[in-house]
Amino acid sequence: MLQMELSTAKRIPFTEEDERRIASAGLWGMIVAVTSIATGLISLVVQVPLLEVSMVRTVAIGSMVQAGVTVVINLWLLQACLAMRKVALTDEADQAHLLTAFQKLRAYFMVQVILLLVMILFGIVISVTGANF
Amino acid sequence: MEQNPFAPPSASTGDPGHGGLVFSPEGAQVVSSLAAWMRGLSIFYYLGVGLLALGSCGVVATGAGGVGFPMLIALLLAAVLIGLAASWLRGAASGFERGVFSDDEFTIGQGFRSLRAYLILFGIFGILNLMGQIYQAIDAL
Repeated sequence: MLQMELSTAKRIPFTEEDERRIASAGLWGMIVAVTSIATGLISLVVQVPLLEVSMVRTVAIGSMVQAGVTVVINLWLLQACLAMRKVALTDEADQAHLLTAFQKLRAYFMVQVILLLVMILFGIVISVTGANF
Repeated sequence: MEQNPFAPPSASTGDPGHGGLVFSPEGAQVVSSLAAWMRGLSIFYYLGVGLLALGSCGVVATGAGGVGFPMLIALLLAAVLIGLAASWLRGAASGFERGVFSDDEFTIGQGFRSLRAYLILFGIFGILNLMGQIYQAIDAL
């Protein structure tokens, strides 16, 4: 709905310098996303054999979940960066691309904050209860 | 009369200086929410800086068993980098929010400058992390 409203939105008159910087931000964001996705996938592959070892199974499952979440949120970052590059490199529907970039970035940062909160709470629970994984 | 070669292109292409923005209320809400989450993440980074500063005080106090000085440098470097990341993230959040609410593309551009600096830092970290992960995977297999 929001995208449809903005599909006719015109070009935003960024300066050439700002467009270069937006394109560069998109490129570096893509580097962050691709390296993080690759790291997550490698981590998944490395953890699979550990599932058969009962002593470290819980840790392996935790690491796999973390790697899976890393892959998903970095796919959002990748989409945001592709939209950023469209803002800088094309002269049509800048607003729609910019809004797509903002929406994906919001999802990326939101999940990061929630993950950090969950990890901190998990750490507090472990330290208070003395649970051993 | 010659044209100024240093003038920004948008000033000479006939584009209006303003009026290219004006987000819908839903769009403005997205940007406001994005800025809030970015600021939230930066708070965690500042907490990390505080913990690293505390850790470096501990290293100074105890000497950390002979490896004190290199560890102190590493902790301080990490604290500086995380502090920079937090400040760039807050700068980007403010730039996006102020730019969208004041319909000023220049301020949004400033937000992207801060976001770019943040992403460059994490891009370099991501490349190093990936190399380490590949090394570990080769070692494990």
